Amino acid sequence: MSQVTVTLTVNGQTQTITTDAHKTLLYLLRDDLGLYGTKDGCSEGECGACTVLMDGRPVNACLVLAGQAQGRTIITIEGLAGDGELHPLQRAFIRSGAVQCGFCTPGLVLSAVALLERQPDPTEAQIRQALTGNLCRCTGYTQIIAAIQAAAREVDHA
Amino acid sequence: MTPFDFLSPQTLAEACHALAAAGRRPIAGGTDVIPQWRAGRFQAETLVDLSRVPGLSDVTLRDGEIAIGALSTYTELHASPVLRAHAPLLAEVSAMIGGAQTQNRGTIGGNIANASPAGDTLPPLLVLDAQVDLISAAGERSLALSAFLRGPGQTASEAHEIIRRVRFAPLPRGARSLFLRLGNRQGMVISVVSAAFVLQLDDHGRVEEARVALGAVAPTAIRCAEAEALLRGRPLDDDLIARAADAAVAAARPIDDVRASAAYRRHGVRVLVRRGLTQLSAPGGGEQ
Ligand SMILES: Cc1cc2nc3c(=O)[nH]c(=O)nc-3n(C[C@H](O)[C@H](O)[C@H](O)COP(=O)(O)OP(=O)(O)OC[C@H]3O[C@@H](n4cnc5c(N)ncnc54)[C@H](O)[C@@H]3O)c2cc1C
Ligand code: FES
Ligand code: FES
Repeated sequence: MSQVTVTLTVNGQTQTITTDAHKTLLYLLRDDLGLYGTKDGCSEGECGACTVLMDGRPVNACLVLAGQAQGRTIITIEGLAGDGELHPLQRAFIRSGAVQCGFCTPGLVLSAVALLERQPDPTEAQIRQALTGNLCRCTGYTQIIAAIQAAAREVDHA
Repeated sequence: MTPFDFLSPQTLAEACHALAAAGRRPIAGGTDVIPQWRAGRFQAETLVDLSRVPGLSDVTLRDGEIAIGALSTYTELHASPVLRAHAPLLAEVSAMIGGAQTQNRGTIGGNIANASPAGDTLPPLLVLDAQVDLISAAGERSLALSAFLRGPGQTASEAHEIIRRVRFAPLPRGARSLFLRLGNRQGMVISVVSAAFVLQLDDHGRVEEARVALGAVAPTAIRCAEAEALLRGRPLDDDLIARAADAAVAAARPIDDVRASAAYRRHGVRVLVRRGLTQLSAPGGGEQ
């Protein structure tokens, strides 16, 4: 089977990986790097469970080919916590009860990280817009939006 | 899901060369290719990634013409000052496609090449009278978008041709433009009916220029020549709007599918054309 060799930076570490040419970034992260925080909900761009940040922007890892990640900088959910301390958005999700089964959570948190970077004090409408591509089937969006608002307030006052 | 090989050309010449061999197809953002490949509806021995080819994602206004590189993403189109000033409906439609993840990867060239009857950039590009520039190892050529689109998933281009850019004249000052769509939900949906409009009114509210295009109601996105002819030279009042909506319904050739029935789509055309023209007839409606 045809292979590609890619060098990419994942959560601050630059690595070179040889893998199947038809593999997506989602399975490069999961199978080749053992980063299981990035989930496979649909493999067709609909659910957002596979959301990662590529060069700072949220993308569906299930729609990026391994070879297309060459030279890119990727942040997965595993890359958010620093020095054993959770990211403010991770803390806010826990405190607001925004995590039930947790399957959608990594993708939602990364979409929210990208939002707050561009828009530190978003309106509810802007939050909803930013989450259009992330589905949650159990918690309900009310707590998720509350979590993002709480994190925005915290970061604002920090 | 047959495995494929992957090539990553670094220049336009390399990309043209890579695509000259049989069994090769381009990939840009992959937002159509990957789902279609998984569903067994996209075959290629080798995918040729265009995303590293430099110079394919600029939006420029030069010599009275706007050129959009085919690799421009929806996020880039939405943020483009040139489009906001001179073709705002394209900036607006770019914010309606999928979610942030799709907008960060999906490209206008991919939307055009995919040639879905429901492709949301196509009605806006049709009312802008867009030209599609193609390049391959055999040379370059240019086609009107209306001639490029041949049927669902079918275009006038050959497998080895790359869409390099789309070009059109900026809308004149005072032109009014709008894109509207109906879907089964607000977000993350394929359009059930879409409509794009460009209107110019004189000082007395009479229509000087009218362009109307529809999506998802025919084998390709279409212009509505009859509705446009009816509108030109007449005062834009409720009666004219109703007649133009009738003409647009007559131009539609919708089908029943999983998203909607043909009858619903016909009704949707009437509603969208009325809604759009009414919005544009209001003082300052959709004006640049
Ligand atoms: C969740 C989701 C939501 C979506 N919502 C919408 C929506 O609301 N409206 C809508 O219209 N679309 C929607 N789409 C479809 C898709 O995002 C668009 O059609 C997109 O513009 C395709 O661009 P791409 O760069 O991803 O193309 P790719 O998937 O890379 O390619 C698509 C096709 O075009 C060819 N191609 C790509 N670039 C070129 C080029 N430069 N020259 C020649 N051929 C080329 C490829 O070979 C392939 O056949 C959605 C997709 C997803 C996953
Ligand atoms: S797994 Fe990628 S969007 Fe669902
Ligand atoms: S917490 Fe279960 S899908 Fe969102």
